[in-house]
Amino acid sequence: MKYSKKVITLLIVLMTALLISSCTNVGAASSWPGYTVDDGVGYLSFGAQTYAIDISNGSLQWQYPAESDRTRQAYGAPQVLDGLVVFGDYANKLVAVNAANGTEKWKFSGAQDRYIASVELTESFVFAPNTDGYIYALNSDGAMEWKFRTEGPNWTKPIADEEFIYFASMDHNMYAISQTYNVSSLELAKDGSRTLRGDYAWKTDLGMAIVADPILQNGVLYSATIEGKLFAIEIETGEILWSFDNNGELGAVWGSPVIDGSIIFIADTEGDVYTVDKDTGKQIWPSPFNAGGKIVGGGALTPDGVVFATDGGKIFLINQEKEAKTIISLESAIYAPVINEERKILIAPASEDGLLTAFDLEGFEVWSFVPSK
Amino acid sequence: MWESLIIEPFINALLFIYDLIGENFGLAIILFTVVIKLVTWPLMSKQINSSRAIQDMQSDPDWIAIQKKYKNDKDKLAQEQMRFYKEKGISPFASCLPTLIQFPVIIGLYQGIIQTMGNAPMQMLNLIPKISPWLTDVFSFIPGLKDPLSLIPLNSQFLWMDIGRPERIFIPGISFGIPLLAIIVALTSFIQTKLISSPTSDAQANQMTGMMNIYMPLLMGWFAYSLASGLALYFLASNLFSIVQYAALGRFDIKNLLPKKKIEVVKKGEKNE
Repeated sequence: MKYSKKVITLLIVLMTALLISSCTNVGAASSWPGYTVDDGVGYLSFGAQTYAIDISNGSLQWQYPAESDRTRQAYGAPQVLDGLVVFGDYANKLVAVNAANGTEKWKFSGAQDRYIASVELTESFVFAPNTDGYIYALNSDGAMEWKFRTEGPNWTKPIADEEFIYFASMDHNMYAISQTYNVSSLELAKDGSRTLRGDYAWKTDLGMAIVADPILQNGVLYSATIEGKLFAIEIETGEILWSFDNNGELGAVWGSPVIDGSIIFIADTEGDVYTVDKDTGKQIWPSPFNAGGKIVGGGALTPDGVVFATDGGKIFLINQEKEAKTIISLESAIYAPVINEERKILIAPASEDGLLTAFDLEGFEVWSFVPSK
Repeated sequence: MWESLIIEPFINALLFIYDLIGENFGLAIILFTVVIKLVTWPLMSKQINSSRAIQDMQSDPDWIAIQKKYKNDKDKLAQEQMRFYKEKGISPFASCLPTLIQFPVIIGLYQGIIQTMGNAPMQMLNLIPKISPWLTDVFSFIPGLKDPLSLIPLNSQFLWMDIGRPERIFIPGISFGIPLLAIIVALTSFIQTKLISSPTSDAQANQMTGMMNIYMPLLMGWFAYSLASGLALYFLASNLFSIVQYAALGRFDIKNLLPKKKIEVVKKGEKNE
């Protein structure tokens, strides 16, 4: 009897533990794969590993770290320039590795929080947005040159042109700051770091947090918010040229807009795809196309139209005439953007069955990369 | 159904409080916990009173006599126990029903807090569709209320802690962070369970209660140590409120904190066996 009461007590405690842990989603992936393609190689971060995958056949070239570290979490798409692959993780580390073999070149540990967004690479700088509310500017050796403070976490990839970098923050603003700063505008901190004292070229309030990577074309930035509003912003002045929300019907936007000629394709988490005139912001189709599932990642432009994927696993192509075709339906949810690489559609489902899979435009699988356990 | 009936209203209420008090998430969690506890006060009071009646019954000489007399005849024992319940006006299930009703509310509150603290893409993707301006619309006469979606991302700083991460306090000269909040949660859980559990004449029941008094605070302390500090704040607010509630109902005995009393009662219980 004594024994059984002890067992009951332990069971109650264990049940409570189970209930509390199940409610907290302990162990669940906190994001989806982030990947990019450069010179025939796909670089993908998901959870503990970052992989380099040969896009011609799906074979693994290298992985970082070489020995699996289950405590590591990385989801931002790695970026590549001049043989250097740079990516951040959720343990506040930004790493640069050799693109050829994955060996570590440098590591930056100066940030205080997670790297959710990708970095932007230029000849002189690595611009790394962090959720600690700073954009870090590092030189090509990984040493911090300066940092710029925003008023909230930064989840989107910056864009650099010759003179400025542009980035959208969760603090509702789009910023433009000069890459060539004046020494007098740098504030020296006790730890030796230098903060750019609010010296932005312009700052434009978009009213809501921004989680979708903006895109830049012909001097205009296109950026959408979680409220469901697409903005066209002139980069010289930061002036809003137009905005589009379909009278409040456009849902939260997580993926970058796709530009096809003079038309912008924009998809939302309601599963709707809209087309908007790039110059005027006017809606082109009278009503959106509904895909029947959340569209989270951005689409990929192909010669036949734009390919999107839904969280229900449907991959479909839609053209400017609103003619849609389902390419394939998978079992897995897809949140990551779609990439078109030499008429191969790359999909990164949040699944262990295939972390990165290539299909042709008819929906036939070309290869699938499954990481070894 | 669960999401739309329980979780979503809780998330929006939490955001409403957050907006109302000047965007302080830690304080919003504490206030929200207090509001929910106040709403469920009548149910909780009923549960406390019923549990206490059953506890008191364990020490009743008639009850003890029945247990002794019919210890070898289970059917007769059950009959006599039912007769005793009727005579004393005790319902053995009276403390269960309020708990069952409260349970979804407590789980909803807990999940609502977790989901609102979302600071990674997958959590944020799930949170955004649940945010609705209905409370802001209802209370539109209050000046300065914002569209709740514009409150995203929430300000996660509260005192020395980041609400979305496990709490540690760093003291100069000590190389590691001290989990102060986890220690306070474990301590208040211990005080709460000790204050509300009266020793009975049943030694085995006392032993079980004694084990729970140790395991549960340790478990709560462990969760407060390893989970986001926003949840630890909820545990703490909930513990403190329960202690106040028991005190208000005159149902806690400060002497229970003293170990001596417990030993005496266990011995007494053993004699009764």
